[in-house]
Amino acid sequence: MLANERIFEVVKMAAAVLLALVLTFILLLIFSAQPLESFSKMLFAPLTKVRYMGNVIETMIPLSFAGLATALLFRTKLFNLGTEGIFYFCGVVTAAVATQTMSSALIHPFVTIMISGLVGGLIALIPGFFKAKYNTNELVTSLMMNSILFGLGLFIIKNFMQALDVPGVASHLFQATAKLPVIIPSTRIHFGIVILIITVVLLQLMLFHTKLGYTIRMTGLNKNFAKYSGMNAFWLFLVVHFISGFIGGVGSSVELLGMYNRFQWSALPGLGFTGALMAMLGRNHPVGVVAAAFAISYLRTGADIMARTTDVPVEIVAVVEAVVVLFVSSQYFLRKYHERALIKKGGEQNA
Amino acid sequence: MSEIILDLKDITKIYSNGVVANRNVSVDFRKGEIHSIVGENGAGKSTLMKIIFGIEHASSGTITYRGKPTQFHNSMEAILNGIGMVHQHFMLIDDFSVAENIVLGMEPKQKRFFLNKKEAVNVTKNLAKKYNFDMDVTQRVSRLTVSAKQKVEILKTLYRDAEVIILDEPTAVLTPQETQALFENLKHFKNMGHTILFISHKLNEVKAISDRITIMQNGESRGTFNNEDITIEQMTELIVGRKVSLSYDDFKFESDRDGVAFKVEGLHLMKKGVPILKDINFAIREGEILGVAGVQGNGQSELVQGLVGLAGINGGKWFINDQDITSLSVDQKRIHGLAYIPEDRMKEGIAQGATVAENLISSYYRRKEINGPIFMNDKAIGKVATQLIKMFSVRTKNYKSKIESLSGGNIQKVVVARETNTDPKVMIAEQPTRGIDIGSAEFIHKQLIDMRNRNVAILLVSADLNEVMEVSDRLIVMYEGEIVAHFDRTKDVGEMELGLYMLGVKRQDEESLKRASLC
Repeated sequence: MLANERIFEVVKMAAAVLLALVLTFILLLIFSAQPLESFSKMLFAPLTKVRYMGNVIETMIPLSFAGLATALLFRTKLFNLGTEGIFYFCGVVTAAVATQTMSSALIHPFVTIMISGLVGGLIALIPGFFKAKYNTNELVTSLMMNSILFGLGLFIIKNFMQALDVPGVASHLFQATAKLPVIIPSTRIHFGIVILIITVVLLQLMLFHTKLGYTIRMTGLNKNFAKYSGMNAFWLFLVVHFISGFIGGVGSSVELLGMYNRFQWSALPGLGFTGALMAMLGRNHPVGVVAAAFAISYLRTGADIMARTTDVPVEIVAVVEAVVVLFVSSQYFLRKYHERALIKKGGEQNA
Repeated sequence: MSEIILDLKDITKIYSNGVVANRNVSVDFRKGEIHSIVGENGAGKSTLMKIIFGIEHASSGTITYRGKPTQFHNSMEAILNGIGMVHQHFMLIDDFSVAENIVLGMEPKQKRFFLNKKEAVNVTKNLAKKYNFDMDVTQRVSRLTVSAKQKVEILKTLYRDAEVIILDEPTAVLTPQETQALFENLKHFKNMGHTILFISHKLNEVKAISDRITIMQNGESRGTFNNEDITIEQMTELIVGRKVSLSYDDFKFESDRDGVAFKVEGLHLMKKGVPILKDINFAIREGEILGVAGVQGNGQSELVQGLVGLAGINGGKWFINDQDITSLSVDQKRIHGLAYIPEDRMKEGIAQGATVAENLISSYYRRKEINGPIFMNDKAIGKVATQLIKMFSVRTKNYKSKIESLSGGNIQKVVVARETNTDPKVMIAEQPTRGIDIGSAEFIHKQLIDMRNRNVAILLVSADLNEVMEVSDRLIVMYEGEIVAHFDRTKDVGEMELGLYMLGVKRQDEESLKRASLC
């Protein structure tokens, strides 16, 4: 059974999570007076209340968008971490549009999200262009862009949009028409989940059923092969960067319009970097990314509840996350069993 | 019967990607023998040698060396224990002299820290003399010919007191004359008590030089034989499991041979001030195979890469049916009817991680036949793939299997199938059967001839003399970036004569060379 590549991946993932949990439990034994209770709180508390489950989904939405944006780049073998800056700057763009007066609660969020996405896409074209035209290292340019976008965004907020009645960085209040409606009562789960599902479906179709998706996958697997086959890397890099930036912009907008009343990020939100993590855990697969985002959100929510109700600090969850990532990303973890299964299978075929 | 120096028992090696390279291989090597390991690349010869040399580790099985169970952890341990290996790709430092290369890592020292150059030269000179190598050890390696570099590699192992010397496909880069010279050296080593492990897939050579022969197929040993107990035909049969025809004459129809399909004019290429290609001119008719013979590294791969648009060319033009395609993109060139079977299938020919079907459509994926208005037509792709798999008898579970689960020969069939399927006017085939099993090689040769019979012009570049001589209609020879010979009929050329041109000893006059352009 382990000989099957896909089954092996799933087993490996489960084993990684299990190991991380065992390690967490050991840590709790050391640091907590009530380890068993803390542990079960972390693992099962999110299931106990609808509100808690709501928290999981809320957290999942922006992580998924950031993950999807990054996964598309990673798929093309572009190591670009610019989603972070795009999330921040598009938040500013969202604030600019969402504070305008618009008559309809149907059109206002739609327009806001689209403009935000468009700006995100255009911004992403900058490192994309330099990569395509001059083969500039996209990791360097994208990290640099993060700093630039943060500075620029902060400048715009402070000078043009700062709400004077609120301390710290804050835009004016969003118009009520711009907000995304809550769709599940007694939670804060908003319409953004629907937009996320649509995005995943579209991405899945694009990636696995269109010529563009085929080109992306082949280029990601073997750049030389793509070139040899006559695929044009220049345009592909531009298009991929644009789509990724667009998803990032949409994600940022959805998060703000769904969860906030005004723009209040005084630092980079960290969502973009976590997105890279989601992409990696989800194996750059749209559905996988959302699954990873769900798992991490669940873990974080559980840890949050644990921190509030027991003597364990919330930071413990960072340890679990790190261990999961370590094992999942390890190429050799459990490889031996996979190989042994292959030997056995090979033997059977020969017999 | 002399003593056994190295004994392998039930060696199994499985790579982490699941490929079983060796399965229960048992073979022993005696002191003072030349022992050949034959089989196609991918049969597991190289892996077995790497295990002996400590680069790879056996998944199971035992190795007994000089009477003691051994498993070297790395090549350094193997070297210290008297095992040397000459790799297919030389591991020399070009800017060092021969002597410096030989002593590198085990230098004679003076005042503990400094290299004693004089001593290094003396030691290597004596070493060369002892083993009948005639060479100037103060020369820089970058100036040496391929065969001289190989000698340096061999001397390197001898300097480290290698008792067992592994030679991985040593003749692949040599001309027939150089091969003869190498064999003289090897016999001399044998008489001095060295054990030679000779890896090859050229059966004539194996027959000429070996004491014993081990045949590998599909990761397993098919037995070890005394040279006198086995014929070349029997070896071939063991390698492929059936008799193989080596002449393709019966498959070739006389074609009308009218129009020129592909024409190359005045190609030039300089790299770092060194001319790589000098004024290349040739033409190929419809329904004709033009072979390009030559020792590897004489400009053939630069020529091909330039023609298909994957690398730069400094000057010259090339045409398909009088249409200038020189400055078109790879994609446009393909649309104008160019197809290309690349030399390195893993690097360029396929995308590992993708399915067989995905690899079968890469140069075809925008065609209407397999696309709907928005989405690709998975059903049509499946149909095309299934058809190609059947036509080219690719051995795979189905078209959804990952390409890397196939054997080398079957992967190559996928490449050929794809390139054929675009209905090209001109096919450039570069080493199309390198490192694949004889059965698949024969199949691919027949496919090329079949294309020829359908009036495709084919440029066949190969370092394998047999291949160009058996398959091509006309022949050119490349030496140091130039065409030095052109033969109207491949059939009329002898192997030894070709060798002289390949070595640069002979060169045809300009009049004869002009005929390569068919004017």
